[in-house]
Amino acid sequence: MSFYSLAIENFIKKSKDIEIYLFSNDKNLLDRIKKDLQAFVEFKKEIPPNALKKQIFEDIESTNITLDEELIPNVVVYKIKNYEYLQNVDKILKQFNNVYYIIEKPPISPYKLPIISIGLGIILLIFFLLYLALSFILIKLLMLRTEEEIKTFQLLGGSIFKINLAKILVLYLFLLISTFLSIFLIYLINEKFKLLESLFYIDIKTIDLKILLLVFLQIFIIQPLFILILSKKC
Amino acid sequence: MPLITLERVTKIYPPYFRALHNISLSIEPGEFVLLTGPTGAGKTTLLKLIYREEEPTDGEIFWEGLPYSSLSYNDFLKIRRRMGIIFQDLKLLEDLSVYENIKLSLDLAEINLPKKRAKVIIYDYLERFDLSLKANKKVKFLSGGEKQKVGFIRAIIKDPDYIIADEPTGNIDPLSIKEILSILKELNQKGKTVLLATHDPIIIQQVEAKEIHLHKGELIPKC
Repeated sequence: MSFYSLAIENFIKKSKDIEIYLFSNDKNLLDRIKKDLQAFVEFKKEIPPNALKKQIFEDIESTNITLDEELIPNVVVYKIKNYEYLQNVDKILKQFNNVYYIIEKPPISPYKLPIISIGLGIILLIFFLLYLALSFILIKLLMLRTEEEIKTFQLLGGSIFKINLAKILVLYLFLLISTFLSIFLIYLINEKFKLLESLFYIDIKTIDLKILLLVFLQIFIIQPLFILILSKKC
Repeated sequence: MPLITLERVTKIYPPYFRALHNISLSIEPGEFVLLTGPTGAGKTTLLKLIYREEEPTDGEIFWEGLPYSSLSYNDFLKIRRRMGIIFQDLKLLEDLSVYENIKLSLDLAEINLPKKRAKVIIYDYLERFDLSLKANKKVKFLSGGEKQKVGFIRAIIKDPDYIIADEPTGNIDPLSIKEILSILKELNQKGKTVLLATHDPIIIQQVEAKEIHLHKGELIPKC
């Protein structure tokens, strides 16, 4: 069975549902279990024996092995309707000796998920408000606020271009640092709770092009626009 | 060649307030000029036209022979960096400290003094005007007279070639007035051009200078 369990791992996808992977050579047994479980689960999919066979050969990287075709199990995937049913399902499945099963749970229990989402939402909101407030304070501290003061600057020989350039550069630097801090913060939160994986199915370790694109979009389009709007407002 | 020349300059503020009418005059480099006249005579307007806070409605102003209309924004910034202006309304940055306000003038004039040297010069002036203990105080907490002194120091700290002072002694104690006049005379002796607007007869008496007298926006010849 170990070949099969190894092969089946490759079919398991990250999901926010609790899924049961049942496999057995006995089709009738699987049908019987289905009846016992039907109150607690929903059918999701079936993995055909051919696909499983192909996966086994890929896993052991050799064709120099003979598999008894009849022993290749049928695999059925169910989704547990409610988190509370998990124990019932486990209890039922333990009664059958000839069935092998894997229960795949999301990293965070569905109970905790909304609380953490709300918590994360509040943290991000506070972070965003702080970020906004800091940007305003920074501009205020950096340079002149009223038209009268800007006029004074010019009358004293100050170049408005240089004033704005300094303002924009410092603000840009601030936004740049805060972007990397946000990414780091998200990374830390994710490391702690595996949140991204469970909420958005993103594996942070394999940063793909979409995330990079978002970061570049943030640095080169959103931030300059934000600076422009802020400089107009201040 | 005169430093500043005004040719038939008129300034009218909308809707129709004629602040200056047909003024022609010239100021030579290194001259000490007293601009006198009662309140509302047009002294401040004339100074504003010279440092180009305002544009004339009619006529032309020349800087070293070049008409203002031919000078660019950057040309004017360069000229202003060589000017020390004491504004009638002071134009201090109220949220900055006394020291910061004065230091700002050095920075804007792009005078790159070493930090310590700048500090010594600034404190030297603050000491002269009895303000050294208030160096770190925000300008908004100062009295009118103290603010006027800060405005004066800010103008002269950068060792300007031209000093334009609009009623710089209004709220100041007699001792400080004496100090201001003595500094202005000192600067003039070093070859700096000084243009001082005042209606205070005591100051007019104390300063030996060419006098330009204005009355109701018109130039009145002095007998």
